[in-house]
Amino acid sequence: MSDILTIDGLTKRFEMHVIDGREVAGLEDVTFDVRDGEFLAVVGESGSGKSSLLKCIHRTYEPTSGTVEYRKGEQTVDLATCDERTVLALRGAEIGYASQFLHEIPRVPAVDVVARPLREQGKSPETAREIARDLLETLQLPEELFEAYPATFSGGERQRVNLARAIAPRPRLLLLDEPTSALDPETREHALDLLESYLDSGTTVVGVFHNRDVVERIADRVVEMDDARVQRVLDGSAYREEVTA
Amino acid sequence: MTVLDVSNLTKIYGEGCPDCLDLTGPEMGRNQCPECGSVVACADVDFEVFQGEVLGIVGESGSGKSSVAEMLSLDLEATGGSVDYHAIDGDLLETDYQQRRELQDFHVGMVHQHVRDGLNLDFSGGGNVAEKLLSAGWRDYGDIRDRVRELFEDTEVPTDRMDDATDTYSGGMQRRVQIAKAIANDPSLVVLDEPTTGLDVSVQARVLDMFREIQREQGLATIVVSHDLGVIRLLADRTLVMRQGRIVERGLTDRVMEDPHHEYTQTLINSVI
Repeated sequence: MSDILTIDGLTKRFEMHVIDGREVAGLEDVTFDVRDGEFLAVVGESGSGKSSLLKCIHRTYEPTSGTVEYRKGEQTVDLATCDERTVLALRGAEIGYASQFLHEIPRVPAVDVVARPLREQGKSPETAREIARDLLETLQLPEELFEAYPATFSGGERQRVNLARAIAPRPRLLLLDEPTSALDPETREHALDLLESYLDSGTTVVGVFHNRDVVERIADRVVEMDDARVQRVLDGSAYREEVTA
Repeated sequence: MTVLDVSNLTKIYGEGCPDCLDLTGPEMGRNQCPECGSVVACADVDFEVFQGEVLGIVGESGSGKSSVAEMLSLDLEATGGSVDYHAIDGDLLETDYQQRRELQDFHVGMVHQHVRDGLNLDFSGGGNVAEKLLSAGWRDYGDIRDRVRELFEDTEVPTDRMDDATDTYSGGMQRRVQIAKAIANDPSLVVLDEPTTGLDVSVQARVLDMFREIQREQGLATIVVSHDLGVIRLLADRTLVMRQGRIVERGLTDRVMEDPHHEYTQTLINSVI
């Protein structure tokens, strides 16, 4: 299996001008590969650098040093240093990201929030809305909320909209930051079923999860982080053995 | 495709002197030259805008962001610099009166912060938009009515209010009419100056969503000037941060918001209520 991402020496330090110019480490010398089509779970305590890692891949954080090589066929792009136009083009077409929070224009109905990235891919409003409704239904968002505004939703309902929006355009690489943390166990199962169906159709997922059950169920490999560094990279089976031992 | 390539754009109010640029800016902590008293609204501003992209310009009052917007929409004369504009294959700042009129009629749509700068409130809403079509050479009354109706529908202005005087419209409707007017002749660039200022919070969201829909659908290159970080976050792909007439930081919008590098940007982001 080829690698979709090769991350090498990735380091992020924040210079906090507003707190006496002190430097804060986000990531230190992170190196690992992501294989095409796998589900890679990133685990670790709060503050260990999991979200920073996703944000550096997505270029929401600008890495201080190191490389993030994104590969498609013969082409390779270093996401850490490529120009902003390239990042924007990839985000629109190939790389999806769901943050922990939904940032959207208020007073846009949930179904339109999910349909928007599909419309930007050139789908007709009707088709986009249809796909959006299917996704929201699969994620068990009550139908009466489809045309309501997500700002009024509960955390779990909002998270379903956020997840549906990120996966709707079927990106090649999907970066998920705690996408199921606010879901009840039953809905979480449905969300994982949905993610698995995407994996089957070729999407690669790098996901941050707190919930061990999720990681145990779905991860092909697990990256363990602590103190801004990668401690270990384990096969899913090895991780499961350790957890059950 | 690059729609606009701005370099060293500078606007000085006053006589100006050789020290103006060295003695102003964020490092000096002022935008008024202590030697000659001239105000440097902006200096050495450079950026590109690509087709289909929304560029945000954010900064506090007096940072020079509106001056940049007004120079690009040809409402304000620049003191120096150049603006290569793809639609005319030349420098926007070197154009004569006739070319400027043509540019304003066909190529650059401006949505002003103050409604009176953008609309004649004594005219009907439809008349304001029709005026833009007329200046672009439209002559057939029926065609003009049809086009205005279409633009009202796109910008969600009730078409049955088309013939009412614009001063009877709500603030939100007036802003929508300005947007309808700005996009009437399929411009290659739209400039929005504080698109939500003065609007009810509930109306702000609808105006932003409506504009974003049109912008994406038509692949419009857009410059959005705002002091409101929320507006910039929701609309802009890339963002420039200005302070005291200079660009202090630039980057992908989410990067600027979540990983601000410059001291001023960090203060700005940390000050959001």
